[in-house]
Amino acid sequence: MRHVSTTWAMTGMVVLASCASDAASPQLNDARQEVAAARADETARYNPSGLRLAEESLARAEQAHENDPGSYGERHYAYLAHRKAVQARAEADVLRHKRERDEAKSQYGVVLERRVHRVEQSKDELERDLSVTERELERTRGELSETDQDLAAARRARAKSEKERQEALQSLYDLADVREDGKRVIVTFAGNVLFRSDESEILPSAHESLEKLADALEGYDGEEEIVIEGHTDARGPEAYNLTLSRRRAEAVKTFLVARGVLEDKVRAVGRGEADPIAPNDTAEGRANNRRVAITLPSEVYMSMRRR
Amino acid sequence: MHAVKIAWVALAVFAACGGSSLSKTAPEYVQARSAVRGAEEIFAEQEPKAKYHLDLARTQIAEAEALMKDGEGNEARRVLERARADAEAAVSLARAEWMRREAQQELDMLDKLLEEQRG
Repeated sequence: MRHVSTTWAMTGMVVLASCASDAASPQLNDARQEVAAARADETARYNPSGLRLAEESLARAEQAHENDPGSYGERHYAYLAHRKAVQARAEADVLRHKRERDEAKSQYGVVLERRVHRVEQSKDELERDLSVTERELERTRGELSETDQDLAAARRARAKSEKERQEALQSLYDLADVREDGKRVIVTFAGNVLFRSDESEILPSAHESLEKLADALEGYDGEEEIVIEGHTDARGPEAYNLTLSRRRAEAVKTFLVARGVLEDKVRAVGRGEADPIAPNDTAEGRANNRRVAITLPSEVYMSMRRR
Repeated sequence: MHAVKIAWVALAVFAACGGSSLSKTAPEYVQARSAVRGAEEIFAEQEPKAKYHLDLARTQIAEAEALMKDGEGNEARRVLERARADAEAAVSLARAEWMRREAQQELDMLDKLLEEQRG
């Protein structure tokens, strides 16, 4: 039993009705159309060899048609020509799309590279800025460190000064009469400790005591005054005693100021015989009345209390 | 009507000349089967145009096998030649579609990158 390919039916064969004429078979028409399309598009550019194979098949189909229109041979070669043209066009599309793909990839790479380059440039600038900032930070840290050191040194010096001040104050207890009166301290030197009789020049033997006092008061810059009061006993004229007491107070002030006590913080006052602390009718009483009393500010008093 | 009968006879004569043996080791058969496998391996079934030709190729191979069984070797050869042409067309059509998609993907990525840059 012989078979006739049913695929001919699928491709719409109508030659049996028209084989008497020279009309081309549907397969031949299809092949001609497909090959013409392949010639018109980019198949010739991208796949010339494929197009040539299709044209060769078509030529055989045309020859078969010429020899015997509608023949099996015509339809067979036309079928092949059609498929070869389809294949040729498809292969051309492969090459064309491949080229498009490769061009897009390449351009993507270029754009990306430019972007990376810009990012790297920005990064370099940021790194340079960061480097400058770090140097400045380092310099500032150095300055801060120096300031810290200076501050520490100043604190140590202050602490030392405070300690020395306190020691000086403490030693006054051995050298003079020191009384606490509320928030003040009154240091009282006996008149004969500081001066000869009727004189207002400070005895050399009193220098050490007054220097300790000067150490305790050196640099004092508070609001309260240091008050130096000179007193006498009641012997002799009152005016004379007033003047003597004033001169003695001034002498102590001059001594202290010369040793670093701020002048505008010290006030020297002469009281004369006005403020006795003992009876003037005994030698002992008179001796006690002859004195210089120095009232120290509460701040100095507080520093003494911290001892 | 007369012409139609003549055509059928001519066809039959032509077909009759196709009588000869052809085995499954014959190059035409092997090549046709190989072309169909090639199309299957690249998933030509997933692309409509490629699938159309692949289905034709398979059908024609089946027809050729029947012809070979009947001793119609020559006709079988011609059918196998057409089957191979269809299978090879299927392969090329599938490749074209896959490459088109790849190209489109790359173009889309490029467009997106350029848009990000503009933004």
